[in-house]
Amino acid sequence: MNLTLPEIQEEVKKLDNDSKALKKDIYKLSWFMRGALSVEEAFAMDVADRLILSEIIKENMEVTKESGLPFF
Amino acid sequence: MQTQTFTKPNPLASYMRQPKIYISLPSNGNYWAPNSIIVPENGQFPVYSMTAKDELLFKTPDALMNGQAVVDVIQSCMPNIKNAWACPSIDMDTILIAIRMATYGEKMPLKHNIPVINEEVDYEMDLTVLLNKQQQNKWIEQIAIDQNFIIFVRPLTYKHMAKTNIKSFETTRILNMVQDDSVPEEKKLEIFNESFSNLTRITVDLVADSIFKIVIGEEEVTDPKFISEFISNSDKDIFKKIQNHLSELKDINEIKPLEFTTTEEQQAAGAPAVYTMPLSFNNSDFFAQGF
Repeated sequence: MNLTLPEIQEEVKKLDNDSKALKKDIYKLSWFMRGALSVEEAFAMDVADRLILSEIIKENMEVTKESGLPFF
Repeated sequence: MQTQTFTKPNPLASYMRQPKIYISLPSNGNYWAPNSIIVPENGQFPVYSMTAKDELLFKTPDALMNGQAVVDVIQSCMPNIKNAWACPSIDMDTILIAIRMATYGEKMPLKHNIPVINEEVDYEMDLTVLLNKQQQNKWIEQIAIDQNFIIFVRPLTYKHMAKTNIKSFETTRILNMVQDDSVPEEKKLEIFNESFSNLTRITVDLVADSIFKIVIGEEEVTDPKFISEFISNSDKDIFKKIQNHLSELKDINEIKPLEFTTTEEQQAAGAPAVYTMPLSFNNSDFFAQGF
C-alpha cells in the first residue's frame, strides 16, 4: 500500500507477465499430454502434480528421441 | 460455531484434491460469523494446495487490491471456510502460511541484502516455526474502564481490513496530489482537510467496529449504532484506552521481523552486528513461485 505509482505499475506488469507464463505452462502441459489432460483439468492441478507430469513428459520425449520415431 | 456431519461420502471424492496438512486456528472458530465456517469435531482444519487457477488469482492486480483473490483462494484451499470475508484478523496469517506450506512446501527462500554493505544473502525460512508461532495468537476481549463499565472487543474481519486498506490507499493517493505544485494553495488546504477528516473517520470506525458489547452495570449494549455513536462522542481517555488495547494485541499477534547476525568480516566492511528484516506478507511475493 506504500508503493509509488511507478512501483505499482511495475508490480502490475510483473503480475501480468507471471500470469501469462503460468497460462503458457498450463497450455503446454495440456498440449504435450496429447489429449489426456484437458486445459480445465490442468488448471485444477496443484504445483506438485504439474511437476510430476512435466517430468513424465520429459522422460517420454527422451525415450521417443532415442527410439528415432518421428517427434513433433 | 457450526459443525456438520456428512453421512454419505461423495462418490467423486477420490478424484478430488487431498488435504496436504491440517491446522488448528488461533480463534478455534470463535469470532467467525454464523455459517461462515464449519469447525471439524477435532478442531483440525484440512488445508489443500493451491490449483493453477488459484495461483492465477494471486496474479490478478484488481483482485489482490480489493481482497477478492485472498477470499477465493482461502475458500478453495480450506473448504471448511465458507465465507473468508468473515475471517478474524488473528486467523489470517495462520491460514495464509498453511496454504503456502501446502502448495510449495515447508521451506521458503528469502533473498535480501545486508544493510550498508549491500551483500546479497540467500536465506531459507522454515514456515513450520512461523506457523507454530502464529497458532499461539491470542485475543483478550475485555477492557475494564472501571468496575461497572466494561468494553468487549473482537478481532476485525478480513472484510474490515480490506475496506480500510482501500480507504487508506485512496486517502494517501489524494494526499500525494497535494504535493503537486500546479494545485492552488486553497485547493491544497481543502484536500488536506478532507483527507485528514477521512483518516480520522477510518480510525474511529476501526475502533467502533472492534467493539461488540459494552456492559454498564447490569445492562448490555450490543447495538452497533449505539456503540458507533458512543465512540464518536466518547471521552479522549476512553478512546485512547481502547486504541492502546487493540494496538497491544496487534503487536502481540503480528509476525515479528526476522533477526540476522553478521560475520566479523561483514562487520569489518561496515555491516551492523545485528539487523532485522520485516517479513513481507505481500501476496504477490509470498505466493510467487511458478513451476
